[in-house]
Amino acid sequence: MQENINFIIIDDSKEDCYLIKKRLHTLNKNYNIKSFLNAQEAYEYVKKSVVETNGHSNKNIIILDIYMPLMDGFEFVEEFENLPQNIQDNFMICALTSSINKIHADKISTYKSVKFFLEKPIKTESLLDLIAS
Amino acid sequence: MSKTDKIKILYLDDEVNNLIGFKASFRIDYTILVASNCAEAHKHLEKNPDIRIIFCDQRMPDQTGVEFFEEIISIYPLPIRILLTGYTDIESVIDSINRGNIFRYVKKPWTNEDILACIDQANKFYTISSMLALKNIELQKAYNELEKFAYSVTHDIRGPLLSILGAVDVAQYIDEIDEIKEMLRLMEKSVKKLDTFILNIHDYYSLKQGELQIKDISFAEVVKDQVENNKITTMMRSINFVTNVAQSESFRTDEMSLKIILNNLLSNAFKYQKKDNANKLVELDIQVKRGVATMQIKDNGIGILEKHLGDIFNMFFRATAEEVGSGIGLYNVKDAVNKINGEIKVTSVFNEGTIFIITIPSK
Repeated sequence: MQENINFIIIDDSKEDCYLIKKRLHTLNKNYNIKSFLNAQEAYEYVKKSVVETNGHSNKNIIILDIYMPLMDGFEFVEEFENLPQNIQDNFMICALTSSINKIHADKISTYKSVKFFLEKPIKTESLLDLIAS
Repeated sequence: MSKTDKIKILYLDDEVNNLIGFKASFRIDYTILVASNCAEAHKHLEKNPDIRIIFCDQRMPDQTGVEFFEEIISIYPLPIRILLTGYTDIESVIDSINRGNIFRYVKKPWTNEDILACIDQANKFYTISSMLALKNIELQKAYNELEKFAYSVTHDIRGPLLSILGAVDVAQYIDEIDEIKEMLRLMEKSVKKLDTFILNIHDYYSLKQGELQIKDISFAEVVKDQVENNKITTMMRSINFVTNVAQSESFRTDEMSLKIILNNLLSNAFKYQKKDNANKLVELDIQVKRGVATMQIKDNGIGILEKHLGDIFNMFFRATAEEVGSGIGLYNVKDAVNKINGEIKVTSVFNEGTIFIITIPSK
């Protein structure tokens, strides 16, 4: 089963975006990866995304940092959950958390569209779990 | 003592003669408001939030003094409450004192000395409690700041560390020497980010705790240092850095605060430039006239959205995700400006540029 996966990385740290991308590419060079330093721009991108209706939809995973200036992870998720259902169904949100900020991790897990969690620093096994899910 | 500095006292008594006598005795040294019934007293309290002391007779037709005090305590908790009463009411007075509703009682008929001693004690008590209230507000503010601080510090310190860990990890999965070198560059960036953050925190604490060290300032020297220190940055980013100094009189201030202001504002001006702009320009203009230094820092960079202008000096606020920033720089600037009794103004047009104007008086 060699389906292709599209990733959208949202993290205000340029270095972290690059690292996640690099890391994903070491797993599979064919992954289509887009990264955003600004959640607002990512939101506009997701909002305008075209949903494939030919039955063979690609997997779309959003890796979302929580603590960001301007629009933070919570605001992104809230806006995302107001989007048309077919767009929401097309994406899976994975929240990037840090073990220090348990309160944030607990809070973000209450959103129904957040299906997966990755803890910084990101481990390869957890990325593999995410891809397999 | 000018009229406005006088302690404001309200006296409530149903016997008008008492009111006249009281006013006549104390009007020279205090501002006396009188009321012959509770409704009038309420009106005075509403209009005069600065009433410090309330004297009230116990025996009144519509309400007893104790009842009146009980009623107002939740609405006007600040004024010190003093009851005037004869011996016959002593039971209810003791009860009221024990419940904390009144500060003192003066037995009738009162003497001027009784009242004066009471005012003096009440005023001392009032001053101490309002000072305490003020300290509590300050303390709460400091506590809120600390909480925010601790949270952001862990995030900002841990962030670059996690990036470094991540880069080390990725490096283990790649064999290309160029890619590994790239990981090293990334680690270097993260280390620098961490270092900048720590330097900012250092500035923060020196501003909070450091004593001012007032000395003669030569702005020509200050600007020369800035040009020298920023030579590499301006060259690498091809920014035209124009400076102008006009100082013909001596000027004294704290050099450390001055440096923090200029370092942060200039580094922002260099940092938040439009990448595709062929004529990147940062201007620093300093004029010293009649004991006031006016410094203007102007750039033609990305600008700040108007809705963010009110927040930029707040700790950890960031108006952009562009570039690396901790959200402490401008907070430190504001702190430094305050410390040397200066003022800072900012005007900005989004996508066109920003101007900061700082005025500082000579010490």
